Amino acid sequence: MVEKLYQLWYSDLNTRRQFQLWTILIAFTYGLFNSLGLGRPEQQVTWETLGLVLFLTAAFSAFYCLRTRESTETSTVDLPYAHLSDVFRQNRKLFEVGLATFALSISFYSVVYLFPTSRVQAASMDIRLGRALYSTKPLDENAVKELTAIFRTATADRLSISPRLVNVASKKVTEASQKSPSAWPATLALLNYRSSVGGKTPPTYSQHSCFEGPRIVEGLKLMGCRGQVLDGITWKNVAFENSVIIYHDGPLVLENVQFKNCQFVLDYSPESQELARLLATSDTVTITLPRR
Amino acid sequence: MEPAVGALIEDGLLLLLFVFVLTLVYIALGTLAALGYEPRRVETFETIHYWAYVVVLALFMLDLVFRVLLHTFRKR
Repeated sequence: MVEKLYQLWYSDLNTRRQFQLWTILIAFTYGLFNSLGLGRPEQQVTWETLGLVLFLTAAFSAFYCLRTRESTETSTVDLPYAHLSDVFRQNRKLFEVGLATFALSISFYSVVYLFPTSRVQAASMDIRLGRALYSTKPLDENAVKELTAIFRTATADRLSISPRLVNVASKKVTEASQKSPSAWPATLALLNYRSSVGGKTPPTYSQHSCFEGPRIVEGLKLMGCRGQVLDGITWKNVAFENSVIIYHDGPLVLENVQFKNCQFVLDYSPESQELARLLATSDTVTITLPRR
Repeated sequence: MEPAVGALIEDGLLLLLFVFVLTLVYIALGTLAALGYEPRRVETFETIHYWAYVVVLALFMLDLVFRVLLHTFRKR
């Protein structure tokens, strides 16, 4: 039995290649059909596909071993290598293509990753984001971690992700964070990203740094504030820029308030979720919390 | 030299070839997306690319494990 298996895996490479080809075709079709055709969660289908590859490998091996003697006797031993150099001599073309492949892969890696362009980086972010968004329904823990990483990287590297995908992400992430606190970091990362790209130019209000104390702030632009607490203040026609915004679920009134290039530190609560939901769709917000 | 080494090297080169083609496709997809090709279609192509990659990698890794195990058992 072991000898027959050994023959299949080490000597009868033509048969082995046929089995490999069939395994690839069947498993690939299964994964594609379940993912694209049936729209099933990608993670689950991936495990099933891995199981299918294992099963097919075992099944083809068993089939080979159980074939009649007559058919196994026709199998040929193709690789009687005497020295290591024979391997390269007899497979010269394959070896050359392999080496060229390796060299080209390293070259492409260098071009794409060592000298990145923002457009290629943004495109790869789009692909990652699309995969994270559509791989599971609803978003699972891994997808949330991936989304958090994507938005943090995009914010730090100033990458512009596809607005359409960001809109889909906004909806999914805010919904997920309403159900589970584990999705909250992804929501905050998304808000930071939203605030860091695009948006309207803030109006020309007079500039001010952080506020403490006054109950109503109106017609100002706050810049470079490293920790502006929003709670307990009525903000009217205010623009925050390059600031860290903190909210602890206290009473809050925002009227036509714009956040540009801001970081958000919001406690996980229904009020913060409500605020996050608005911030995820627009950089200018009007809201009164708690809701009356 | 044992034929085992030859078979392993052949499979290694074949895997490298597959990975190279998949890398080319990956870069082509990134370029398509960067050029503004319809994102929905790029996502579909990316899904096809993903399954090709998963299947090829799973098959060759499994082959490697099987081969090493088989070789070990046979030697005993």
